[in-house]
Amino acid sequence: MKKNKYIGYLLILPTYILFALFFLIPLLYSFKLTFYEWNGFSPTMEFVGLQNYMMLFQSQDFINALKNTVVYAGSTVILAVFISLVLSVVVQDGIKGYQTIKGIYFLPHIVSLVAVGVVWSWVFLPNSSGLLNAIIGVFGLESQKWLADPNLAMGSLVIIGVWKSIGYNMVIFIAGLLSIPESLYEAAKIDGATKLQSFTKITVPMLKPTMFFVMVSATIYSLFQVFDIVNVTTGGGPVGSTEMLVTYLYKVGFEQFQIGYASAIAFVLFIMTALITVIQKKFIEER
Amino acid sequence: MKKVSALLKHSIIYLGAVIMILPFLWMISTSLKPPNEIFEVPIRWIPSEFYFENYVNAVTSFPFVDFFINSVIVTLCIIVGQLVTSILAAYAFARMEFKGKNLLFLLLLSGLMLPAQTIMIPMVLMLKELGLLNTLQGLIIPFSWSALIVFLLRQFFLKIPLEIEEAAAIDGCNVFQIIGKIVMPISKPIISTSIILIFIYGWNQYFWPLLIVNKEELYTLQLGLAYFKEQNVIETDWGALMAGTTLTMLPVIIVFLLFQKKVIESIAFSGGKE
Repeated sequence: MKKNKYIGYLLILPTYILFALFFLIPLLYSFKLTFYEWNGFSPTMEFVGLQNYMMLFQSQDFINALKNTVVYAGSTVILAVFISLVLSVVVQDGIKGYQTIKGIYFLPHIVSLVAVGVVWSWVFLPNSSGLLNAIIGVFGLESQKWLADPNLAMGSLVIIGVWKSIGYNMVIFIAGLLSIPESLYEAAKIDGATKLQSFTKITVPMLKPTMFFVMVSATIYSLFQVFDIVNVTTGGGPVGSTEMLVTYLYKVGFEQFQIGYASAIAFVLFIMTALITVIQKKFIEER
Repeated sequence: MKKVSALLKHSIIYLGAVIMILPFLWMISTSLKPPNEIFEVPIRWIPSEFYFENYVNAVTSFPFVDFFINSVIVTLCIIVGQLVTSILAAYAFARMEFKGKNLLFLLLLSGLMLPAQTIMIPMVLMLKELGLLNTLQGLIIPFSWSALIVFLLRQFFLKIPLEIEEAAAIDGCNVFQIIGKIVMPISKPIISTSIILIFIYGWNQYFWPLLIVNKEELYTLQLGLAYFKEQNVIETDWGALMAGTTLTMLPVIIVFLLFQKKVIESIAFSGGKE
């Protein structure tokens, strides 16, 4: 079986040809493009050194997109992690119809982001026949414009993001909770600890690694999914209030054809995700 | 006290579940409403009559059937492509020794960690260079590899006892025969999991198709749905739009209902990367 030492390379070749053509080379080329000015069509590119990077930090639009991305990812992750942690602890305690419930919470995770965007646009309809306005109307609140209101659009997107990711977070949390040895709780019970005490003194510290893992992967996931949702719902508006790095990059690249500048934005995004990944990897190794 | 806390517990979870499923119910409810009930206040959840016309409108007012066929073709081809390339690579990583093996494996896994948008510009240039822009092949070939599936399969292959393969090798089987006749039959569980994962990934893809095709006849269902919504912006036929959305989701939801446990386990294990 191991007679031919080249057979290993032969077997991985199809994967690596595609990987090189459609990932690695584009990634490296993207980095090269950050040092050039180019409109994507003209046969010549002009070398401009670091100019594209300088432009980034003078651009109001870039700062806005960066800020929005951080706000979106940050609030989605914090809310989703908190809510799913609470729900997981409660579910863990024994719930009637557990399998069905788990399925319902997980459902949003598997449907397409386009479908999610379309359905939520309908939920967020800005007049009184929209679902969300009807619901808050029951509590005597006035109808809101949600996705069409510059002050609420970001919050509305966060609601979609949280809704989409709770189920996934819960599955990871429940696995983490199951891995805490039952004997710890029994010992605490014998020592006379209350339920709350065993939660704060056992569950929380034992769950810390899982929590960290969920936070990091939720952050990456929020960057992965945000383009599709924004593109289908707000398109980055109103007045740039939901413009994210990924959508801004798309516009600069494919609508304004500033290839070099767009590549510099892509590189910032790359650095952001690489940093998150390094943190994640370091943590997994420690575990 | 115990009863109260059990009641509280169940209320929280059930209320949460209702919130989670509400948008889906709202979608289905709207898709079955006659036009005069769609904007009715207060909300009517169960329409006075099931108005299936919305589904007929959704399927006929835009080339839904063509988009559906494109999606099926693209998804099936991606499944076959990813399986073939990944089984071969995973087998090499699980069983063979070659120089640079670990480094190559790590490099491949790095592919899981980047948002697609970071490489979109050079990717389009590459596809253009290869003549893949605006073709169905362009929606298939670039996605016929998967670091995730290689990883999942390799983990499984590592657990298969070596003896069987060694015996087959002594009997004169070559590597491809061993993979086809021994490894693959044993690996049915992980291969079916992979098929489900790739199916969901392929079916739901939106961003790359958006860049790669702009001819309407090549649209996949996700592109078509987004396009249908855009076209509808001024006076939206929400009944038809929700019917179209329901139909677009349906294949994935059916797979989920049939294999719920498997889907949840595998996605959780894979780290949710798509």
